[in-house]
This record gives sequence, C-alpha cells and structure tokens, in this order.
Amino acid sequence: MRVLVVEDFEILRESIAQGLTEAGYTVDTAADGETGLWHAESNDYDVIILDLMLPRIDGLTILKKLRAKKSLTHVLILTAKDTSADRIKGLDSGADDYLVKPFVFAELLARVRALIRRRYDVKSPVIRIADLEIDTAARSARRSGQTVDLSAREYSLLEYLAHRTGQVVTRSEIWEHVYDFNSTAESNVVDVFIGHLRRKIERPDAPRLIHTRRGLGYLLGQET
Amino acid sequence: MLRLPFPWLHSHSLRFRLLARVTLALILIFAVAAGSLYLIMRASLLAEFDAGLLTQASSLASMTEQDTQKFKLEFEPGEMPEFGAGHHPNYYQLWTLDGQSLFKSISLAQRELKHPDRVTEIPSYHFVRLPDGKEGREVTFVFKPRFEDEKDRLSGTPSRAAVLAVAKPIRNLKDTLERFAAALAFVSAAAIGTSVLMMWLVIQRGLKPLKSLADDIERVGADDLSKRISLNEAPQELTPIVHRLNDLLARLDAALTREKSFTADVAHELRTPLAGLETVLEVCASRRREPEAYETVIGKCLRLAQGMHGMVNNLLLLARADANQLSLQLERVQLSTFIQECWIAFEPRVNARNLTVEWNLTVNGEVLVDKEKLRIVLNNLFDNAVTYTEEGGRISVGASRIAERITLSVSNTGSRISSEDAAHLFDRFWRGDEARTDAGVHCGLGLSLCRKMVEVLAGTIKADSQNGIFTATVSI
Repeated sequence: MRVLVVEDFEILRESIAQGLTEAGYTVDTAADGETGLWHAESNDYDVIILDLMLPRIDGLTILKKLRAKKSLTHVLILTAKDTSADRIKGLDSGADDYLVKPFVFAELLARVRALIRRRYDVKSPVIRIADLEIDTAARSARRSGQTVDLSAREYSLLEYLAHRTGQVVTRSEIWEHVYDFNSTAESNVVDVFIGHLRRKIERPDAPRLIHTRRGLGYLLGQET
Repeated sequence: MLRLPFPWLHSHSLRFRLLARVTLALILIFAVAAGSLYLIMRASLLAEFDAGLLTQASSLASMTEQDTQKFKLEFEPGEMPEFGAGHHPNYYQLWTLDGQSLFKSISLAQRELKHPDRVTEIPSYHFVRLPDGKEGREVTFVFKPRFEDEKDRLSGTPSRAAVLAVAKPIRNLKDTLERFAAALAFVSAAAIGTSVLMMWLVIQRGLKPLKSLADDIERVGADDLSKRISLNEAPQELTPIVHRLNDLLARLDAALTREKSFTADVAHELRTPLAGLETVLEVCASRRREPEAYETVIGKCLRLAQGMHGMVNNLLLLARADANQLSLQLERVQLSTFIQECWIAFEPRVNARNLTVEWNLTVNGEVLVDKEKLRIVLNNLFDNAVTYTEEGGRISVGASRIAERITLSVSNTGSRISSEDAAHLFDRFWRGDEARTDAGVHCGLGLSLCRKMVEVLAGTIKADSQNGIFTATVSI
C-alpha cells in the first residue's frame, strides 16, 4: 500500500515515514504543498496524510484540487487545528478522516488501515479467500489455520492482491502500490516477488490461489 | 454638589433623588407663596377692619360736644346698639386729657378700658384683651370736640381736648383668616401632591432611555462581546456614553479575541513539536533497534525539546513585557563588536546555505544600552534573515548613529512577502503565506518579541519588503 505524507515539520515527517515504512507501507514524503500536490497528482496513492499549514500551497487547497480532479485517494488530515469548525471545514473539503496533533502513532496506523479497507470496499479487517486468511490489523496471514511466515514486503504484496480479490492486478499497479517509488519498474522484479509469495502461500494439497494472466498480470482468488 | 442633610436626598436611585429634590423645592415654593399670600391677606383685612373701627370712632367723636363747662354725648344709648350689652359688644370710653373718665359704653358696665399712656391726634391701633376676655382691636386718638354753641367758639372760649378709645372684637377677622389659611394649606398640599405625582410620571418616562440602556448593557454578556448597544433610541445626552461604551466593548472584544487566538496559536505551535516528539518516541519504541538508531532519536528529541524551550522562553518574555515586568539595565557596550558577537552563532547556518554578508557598521565607541534586550532583538532579526534568505542570497547588517539615536538595519534578499504584509510581521504568530519552514524551532513569535523588546528599549521598529528585499529597521 502506498502512502504520501505531506508535512512541513521535518522531524515529524521523517518519523511518520519511518513508522509507516516499518509497518510495511511504501511511503513518499513532501515537505511543502507544491511538492505534495505534484506527488499526489502524479501517483495513485492509497492514502495521503496531509498537514494543513504548509509552505507555498496549504493543505485544504491541495485537497480541493485533488477532489476537483476526481481523485479517489483517501485523505487523512493531520493537523494542530483542533476546533470543530476546522474539522468540519476539512471534512467538507473532501477529507476522509481528521486527526489532531499530537496523536498516538498506533491510532494513525489504525486509521490508515481503515482508510485502505474503505478504498477497496472491504469492511472486515480479516480477508478470507478459500482457506487463506489475511488479518490486516495484525498484518499476518494463515493458510489452513497455519501461520504463513512473510516478510513485510511479501505481506504488503499479499494484502494488496487480497484487497483486489477476483480482479486482475497489473504489474505496474503492483509496482506503484507496493514498491518504492524511486526505483524504476521492472516487470521481472514483480515476477520474482510473486514467485516468493507463491512458494510460501501455495500448498501442493490445496487449490492454487495466485494465478498468472499472461500479458495482463496476476489474480488472487479461487479458480472458478 | 450640595449635600443636603437628608440622607434620602442622596438615595442611589436617580429617580428617587430627582423626585425628592423636586418635592423639596415645590414645598419651599408653595410655603413661601402661601405665607406671602396669607400675610397680604391679613394686612388688607386688618386695614379694612381698622378703617371700620376708625369710622365708628370718628362718628363717636363727631357726636361729642363741649361747652364752657363740660362734655356732652349727643346720642341716646339705644341709638348705637353695638355698644350695648349684647353678646359680642363693642366698647368705647372717653377721657379728659388728664385721664378723668367722661363717658363709656353701656357694654363696659362697671369695667373700664385701659387709659392709653401715650396718645396723639393720629389714630393708633392696638390688639387688646377686651373686658369680656376676648381678643379685640382698639383705636385711640385725641380730639377736640366741637362746641355745642357756635358762640363759644367765636368768643374764644378755650377748647379742651378729649381722649377716645374704641375697641371691637376681632373674632370675624380671625375666623376669616383661619379659613383662608386652611384653604391655602389645602390648595398647596393638593398642588404639591399632584405635581409630585406628575413629576414621578415625567421622570419615569424621561428616564426610560436610561432603563433601556441598562437593559441593553445587561444583554451584552461577558461571553458575547460582539453585541453593541443600539444608538437609535438613546437621547442626545446619552450618545456620548453609548459611544464610549461601544468603544470600550469593541476594545474589550478585540483584546479578548486576541487573547483567544494567542492561546490557540500557542497551543497550535506547541502541538506540532509535541506531535513530533511523541511520534519519534513511539516509532522508536515499536521495535528493538541498533544503538545508533537510539542516538539519532535522542538527538531529535533534544532538538525538539530545545525548540519548545525557546518558544516557552519567548512566551514568558512576551508575557512579562506585556505585564510591564521588564526593567532596563543600561550598560556601556561596544556596539559593532557586540553585533558581530551575536552574529557568530548564525555562521554555521550562513555557511551551510552559502549566504553572503555585507557589513555597514559605522558606530564607533561605546553606547549606553540594555545588552540582553538588544541581544534578543538582534538574534531574532538575524534568525529571520538567515531563515528566509534564498540559498546563495545576500544579507546586509548596518548600524549608524545620528546624534543620540542609533539605527540598526538587517536586510535580506529572497523576500516573498508583500510590503503590505510586512506590517503584519510583528503581529503574534503571523507568518507569510500561512506557512512555516521548520516549525517547532521557529514560530511566529520572534518578530513580535522583537518589537516588544524594542518598545522596552524605548525605540521603534519597522519592516519593509521591496523588490524581494526585506528590511527590518530598528531605531533606539
């Protein structure tokens, strides 16, 4: 899952990015409104964490511009402005959530998870595909009741595929949502990671769950 | 103000006080008027009475005759019944000059009127106690009765004088006067009563604008100072009060709003570094890390704490300056050296950002100044310049002295604010384009603290921004 953090206060921006990265998200950061807007417009983020008081372009303007362009990205406003009027203004400008500084980082993570579920229209934090169980809150996966040992990246890949169960996900989508923005997309890197994930998920005695659609991408789900 | 010895005249109710004074004035006016009327009435009634008395006496005198030997009265007792033995009789008595009684009225019987001590031909009137014990009035005079026989007068017979006293009860006069006094008192009381009632109504009505003003003021609560008192109904006399009150309200409102937004700004400015502190620690604590990672986190936390410390210090200084708790501690300072001393702390940042510095220090020798307050001013101006100059830009620092006045100026390139906005720079927490470059260390307090310190130093500070060059000028 790809998250953009737009925050002008360096220490806070870096800590949030570090925390999110350690939680398995792919994170981009922007220190001012201009850069933030440019990132937001040029990539498909799952969640944008947006400060309101920013140099050059303020947060609400960024939000309004994004919504005017029909962006579906979920936006969480993270600000020191705490009055009801501010919250109302923020939500009415198109924000999906509002968190006031100072905040508990675990809560920020939980809210990001909830926004991602909403983005992919999933209600429960636990996604089940046949006997594969993905707990998005605990960030763990089980197959036939047995815990599958996944690295953070592998889990992210699985979670992204799980959120889009039954849909064909292209390599570039996987690249955009799961992997680092700065490196160039190489389809075989995605294939390598899919290979790793298959080895851990698939069981010889159970039906295959990760399917390759030649020329299109991958699909997670039961073969019908 | 005249303090009258009646406490109720100084009651706290304006209405009551006005009414009491008006009532007192009315009573005085009516008392004087009624008293004068009574006296005039009494005098004229008495004059009329006396005239009647004199007529009676004169007719008695004209009926007295003398011949060579003795005096004679020319009428029969029955002809003048008022001098008879009636219920309220009149009296007369006639004496010779040496006090020998000649005649007296039947009403006197065995009694006598008092012979007047001094008597002249001019009638004189007195109040007397009548022989029957009643109050009366008496006229006395000396006269020469005519001769019975014309011959006696012509023949030169010496004419003898007689003394006449006529007295009459004044019961009727007294009754009339008493009735008149009673009527006067009644009319006065009624007039005063009616006037007081009317005055009450008039005052009530006249003070209505005051009452509605009081109601208006009551409606302006402490929590909502945005309301103003309406001028529409206020009479001309109250307009200055209403204006003053509205001015006062506006100033209170502004002060309160400023206070509120100041508190909100303080909270806001502290929230961001606090959020940073908490997040850094929480993310760090979420897993076991290498010792180097902890060192980095400790460094970050220290920077955050220092930033907040600086901000709290600035706030305290501002609060103390606002409460006039800062005193001047003047000392002799080598100004140019002092300015460069303050600059040293900024050199690492200046070098890192590749800035050029231009010096125009023309103040030689020592100046008398409060070093610590000047240091705050310089630090903030330098900090502002170093922060907002673009990479590779230029800063110039100047100091000059004209007479006893010292002018310091700090200007930098890369200014993005308009010259109108430059005026706001000294407002608390104002920041150009709602933006912050590195919150926590910088907050919008620096320049307003600067201004406050310059005020304490009894100087002026102004800022201008022209063609991308920002200049702050301090004059002390």
